[in-house]
Amino acid sequence: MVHGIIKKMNLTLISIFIAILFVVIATIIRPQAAKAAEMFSFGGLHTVTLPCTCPATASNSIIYIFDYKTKTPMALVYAPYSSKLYSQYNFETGKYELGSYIPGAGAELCQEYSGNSCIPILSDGLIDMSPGFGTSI
Amino acid sequence: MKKQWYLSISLLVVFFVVIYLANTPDSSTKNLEEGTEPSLVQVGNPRDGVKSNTSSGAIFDWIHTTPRQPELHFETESKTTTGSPSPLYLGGSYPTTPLSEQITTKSPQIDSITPSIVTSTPYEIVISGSGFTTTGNTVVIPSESQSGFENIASADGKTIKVKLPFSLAQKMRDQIMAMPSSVNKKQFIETFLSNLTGSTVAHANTTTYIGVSVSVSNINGVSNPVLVQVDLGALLRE
Repeated sequence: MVHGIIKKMNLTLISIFIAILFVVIATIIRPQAAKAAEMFSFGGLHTVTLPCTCPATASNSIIYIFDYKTKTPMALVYAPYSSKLYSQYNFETGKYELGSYIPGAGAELCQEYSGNSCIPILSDGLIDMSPGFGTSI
Repeated sequence: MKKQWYLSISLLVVFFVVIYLANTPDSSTKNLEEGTEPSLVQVGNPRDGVKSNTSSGAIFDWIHTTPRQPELHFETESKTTTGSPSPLYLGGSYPTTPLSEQITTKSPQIDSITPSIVTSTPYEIVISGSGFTTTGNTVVIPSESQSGFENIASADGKTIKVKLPFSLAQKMRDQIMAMPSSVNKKQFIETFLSNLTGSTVAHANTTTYIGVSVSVSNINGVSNPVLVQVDLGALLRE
């Protein structure tokens, strides 16, 4: 009788322990999921554009923006199939633009043809699609 | 025994519900995933004469700021402003004092900036004009951080001196320096300069100029913007 009660208690305790363990794991997973969805935003004056001249990256360009969030100039890669462009569907120098980017994602996405070779240009990131970027001017 | 299994299964169900809820995106993220486009907020343009309400005194407010209340500006043909609206402007009776006597302050005006071409950084530029206050002038350069350009003094009310850093040149220098040592950097700089495009860019002979807008803001208003040409070629070849 007593042995049966102890056995039942052990099973109950083990079940509760497993459930608590799962809840703890879930709470650990949660912040990591939130971190993955974090968006980096930028906004400021578009000062100059550098078209990427090598064939492999010919449709891309680097836009130089003085970012009012970080208060520094930023070099961001615009790639037509990776970067979402908002109305007015243009980006021009001298305009104030706003958007989002993935840091460090544009390392090999812009290359300049110089001499006889293609030289990758360092950038601060790739303009992405969540939400993308644009200007209302 | 059966009861224990039911208990275990129930706890597992609770666990999966917790996992599901923990990984459900926030409402804002969900909206984006469902295709709701977030609205873009226009960043303020100093040329519009918008003043900031931020504690840091920065000219530009950031995303998602609440709409600012429009400020009252009363301009005459000579670009002067009055401190407060007179009954005339509010639709009341005609003012008894002449308009010239009501004009107490004058908005800043830039006549020239010397030198007009900057060939090294930081380069001291002299802004000449009128309407500058003895203290509390802000030199507005949209392509630079505002720190160092605030609360600038003008002893005579006609000149202001500031050092133009042109931080974009440093950014480009960093990009060039990060290239492998096998790259002929001198040759690359020439290619880089010739490939730059935009309405702010001017290519001339062997160099490339970038136009930088400069204006002055103080308690009486915002001046006209004047362009300073930065010789980017000279800065990158330094």
